[in-house]
Amino acid sequence: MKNIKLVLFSMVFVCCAFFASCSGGGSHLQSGFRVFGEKYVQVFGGPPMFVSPTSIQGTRLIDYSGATGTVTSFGPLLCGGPCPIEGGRTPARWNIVAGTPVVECVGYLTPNERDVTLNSLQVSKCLTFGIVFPFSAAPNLINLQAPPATFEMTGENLTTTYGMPYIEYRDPYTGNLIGATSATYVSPKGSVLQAAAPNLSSAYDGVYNVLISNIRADGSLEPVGMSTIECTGRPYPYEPPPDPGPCGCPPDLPCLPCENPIQ
Amino acid sequence: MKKRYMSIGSLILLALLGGSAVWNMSGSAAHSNTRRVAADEEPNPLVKINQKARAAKNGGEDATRELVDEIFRSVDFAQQFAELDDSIKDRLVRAELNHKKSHGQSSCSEQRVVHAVNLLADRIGTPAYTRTNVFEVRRLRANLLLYTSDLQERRNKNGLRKGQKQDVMMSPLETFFVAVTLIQQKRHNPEYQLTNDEWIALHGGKRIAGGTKRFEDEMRQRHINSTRTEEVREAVQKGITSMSPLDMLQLPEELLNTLGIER
Repeated sequence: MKNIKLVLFSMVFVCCAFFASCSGGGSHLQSGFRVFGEKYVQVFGGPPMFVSPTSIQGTRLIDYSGATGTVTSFGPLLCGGPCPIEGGRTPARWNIVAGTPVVECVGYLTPNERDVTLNSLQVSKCLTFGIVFPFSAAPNLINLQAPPATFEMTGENLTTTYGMPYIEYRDPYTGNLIGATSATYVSPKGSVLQAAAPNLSSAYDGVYNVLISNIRADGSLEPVGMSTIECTGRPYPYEPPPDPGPCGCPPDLPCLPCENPIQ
Repeated sequence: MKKRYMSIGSLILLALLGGSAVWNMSGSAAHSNTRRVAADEEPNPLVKINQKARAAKNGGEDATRELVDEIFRSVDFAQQFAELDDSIKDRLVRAELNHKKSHGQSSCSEQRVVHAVNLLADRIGTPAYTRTNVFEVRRLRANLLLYTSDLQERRNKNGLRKGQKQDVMMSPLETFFVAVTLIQQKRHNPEYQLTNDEWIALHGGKRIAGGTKRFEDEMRQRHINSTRTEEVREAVQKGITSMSPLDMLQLPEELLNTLGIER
């Protein structure tokens, strides 16, 4: 049985290798180009995050000298990888967009209008509707030598039903919690909170994430929004990341074998 | 059972990491594989994952299985091999349920994600910037907190203390989700295609208020030219074709073991 599976697997492997090495990965077309749509979600306080491939569509705008190909529009298409646009007219200027504008995507990380050359790969990256609930923090520039006594944050969906909202100040580089405090006031409409400033004695210059959470009935935290504050007055270099330790032996934790840990 | 895992896992691996061979097959055969699509009515997969995670918190096997299915629907490599991944899904469901039964005890951790992602980079032979470190995993988790907070352990304000790192231990499902999400970023997202030294250099080497401008400017350019995404794609293609079938057979199990996900 094992041998049969090994043979089958080898056949799959050889086929894949064949396609990978002989087809050129579909990267060279007789004429035309390839396109790929990517969908990102805007992550507040961090970089946009790739979530999935998405559909892509395009329309040729103008030809450049020597343009060939008969295809002047395509899509929306969704492929397992880059979609070949056989006969796509090149060199030419195209409008190429990932996702469905307005319905699916609210913005783009790449320009929609672009010059397309023969055999090129055109990647369009769209930003989806997020679930980002940005709060504004005031003040948002903090002198760590003279921090403010209170912060005020403006957003929405704040509630005091099960307790005052909770505010965490996190170092986005290390993930460390540098301070936390409960709100002392929430406006009746749930759009403004006030809170005493946390002890920022362990904070250094830089940008920090502020995570605002409501309290659930069971006492757990339900994030409802995020903001950032910038701190100055206490310079510090970036520290190197901690060594994850030998495989399966994280620092301060029991050793756990990486391979075959569970029999 | 083990043999079944090995053969199915190998096929999944072709899509997961290896993706490029599969990627190329789909690219070169895109005429039959390409489909026209309607507007995506589910623009943000993270929303659905969080909804399922919330339902699974107090739910049984069915709710956990739905969560696993949702994670697999949201990550592209799993989509490609959805028909073959039942064993992996079963293993994840089983591990998650056992994790709940044992009151949150787990051998899964941030360090294990680091080891698994780096193991993969080493085996496939992808560039140095596809390796990761504890800080990068923490940044990703911090950014995911607002979106998939219900996938993380239930957080309680009484359980938080100043200077506390984000809990380095994770449930099996969160560990898997963080790992595959990070792998997706390493494959597609220039903001994660950086060594730690490059990340620090692009932030000016020290923490300063407003210190992200250079980084953001550079990332805008990298999103447009996608050079490293192409490098990764080519490295994966080369790595897959140079691996022995036996090495490939062993890799999926090795990765899940490294993540600490019990059989």
